[in-house]
Amino acid sequence: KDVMRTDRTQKFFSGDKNPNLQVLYDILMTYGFYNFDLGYVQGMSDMLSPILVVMENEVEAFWCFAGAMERMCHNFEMDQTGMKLQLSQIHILMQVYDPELCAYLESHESGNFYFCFRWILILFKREFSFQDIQRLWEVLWTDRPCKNFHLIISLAILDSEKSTLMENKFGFTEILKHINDISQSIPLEETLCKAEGIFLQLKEYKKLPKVVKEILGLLPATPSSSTDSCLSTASSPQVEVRQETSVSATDVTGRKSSAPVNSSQSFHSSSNRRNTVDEQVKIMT
Amino acid sequence: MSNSRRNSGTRPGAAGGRIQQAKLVLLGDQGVGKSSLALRFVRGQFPEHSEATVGAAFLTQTILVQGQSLKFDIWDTAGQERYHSLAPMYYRGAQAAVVVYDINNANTFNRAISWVRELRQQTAVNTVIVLAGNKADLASEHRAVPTEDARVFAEETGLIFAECSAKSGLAVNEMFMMIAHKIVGKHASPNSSQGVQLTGGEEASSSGCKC
Repeated sequence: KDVMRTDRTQKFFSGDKNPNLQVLYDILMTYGFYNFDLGYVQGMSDMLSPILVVMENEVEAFWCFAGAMERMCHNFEMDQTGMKLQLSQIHILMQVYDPELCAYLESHESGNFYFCFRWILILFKREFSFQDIQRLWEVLWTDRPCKNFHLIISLAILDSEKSTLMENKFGFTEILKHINDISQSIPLEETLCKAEGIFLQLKEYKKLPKVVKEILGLLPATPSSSTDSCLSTASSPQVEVRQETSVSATDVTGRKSSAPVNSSQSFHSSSNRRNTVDEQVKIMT
Repeated sequence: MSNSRRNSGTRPGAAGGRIQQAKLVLLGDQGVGKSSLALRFVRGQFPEHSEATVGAAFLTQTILVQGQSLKFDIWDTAGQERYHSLAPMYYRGAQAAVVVYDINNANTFNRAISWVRELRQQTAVNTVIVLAGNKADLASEHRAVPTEDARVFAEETGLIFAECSAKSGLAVNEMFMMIAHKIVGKHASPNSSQGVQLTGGEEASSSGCKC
């Protein structure tokens, strides 16, 4: 169903009998079987569309898409654990970076950062132009300057909107509406620069909490766990994510989780995965 | 506790009258036309390939009903089951909910029924709930949900019922007007609980028909 309504204003997908729509459909269908436990979830077609436009070839686009989904599959889980985790991580980062804005959001029923849901779910796909999104994804998929840089991008955008949100005394509804409304009007380069600045500030901050270092991958010994694939039939993805959740201090529902920061398991060879991603980035550039 | 979620209330309008605000939420299975109904009502448009809603979209429309301005804050939600857990955030505090199904697809009707049950359990008793069978323009060839079945269910559960088409515009404005009357609450027509009648006359009066 979603194939017929994905980026149809783009030349690549426009027109009633555009053969590229069939390719889009076939790849999503194939992925649905390839990762049968996850299946198709709304939002995936958004992720595939720019990849297909860049790759043009169905087979290559499929593997690139599968690679991108390895990084993002937790976003599409049934119980939303992956999404909740990332939104709570934005909360944690915001607490450190800008306690004032953080307190404002908390006191206006937005401490769960659900207004960032679309940003995170499809990696800002709807927020930027088709051209910009290719640039942004290329940056994010390098994992430079740090892991989870997309969360810092969120901080950067919110930082730019801070005065609007606070001076107008926006509440829950208005915040969500405003964040929806700024879609397609966010300046990308400015946001990237600001985000890099925020990262450098956080990195240099002497009292940076361990949990933040963990999120940004600044703890040398711990291998990345957030990119663990859920493409696995042996180990349940839910279990993996739950272990990750123990990293965060506060989850979306506000419960404190006092579990120790976990030393993440790595069933899937992370070097393999890195290769796929690097390859992908190379091809995209 | 802040008042920010109180969407009901009055404030001075531009014309010296009062503007009443009402929060309305659109629910229903994916691809039934929730966003399209909202767009038809708010902008009078029907985009042929509107994108799947991710998270939630937000629209507003102010209408005049019984000499009073009513501003709808319309929350348009993502339909896929996977995103069900987000819905309570959008329907809480809503004065009205439009549960949409595709009259050419029986599964979407079953999904609508479960939405209605959930709303009845989770929202205030006086929440106006509308059962809207969309895509009526395709019904002559593809209908899968008989009008009577839906009407009976709507009557049993005390819903407003309408069959409509976001594409042709059929009965869309009428449906929202009926909600507005219910909310504003004065002399609502005694027939209003029985839903919009699909007649040739109404179809002819609908605007922007592309069929």
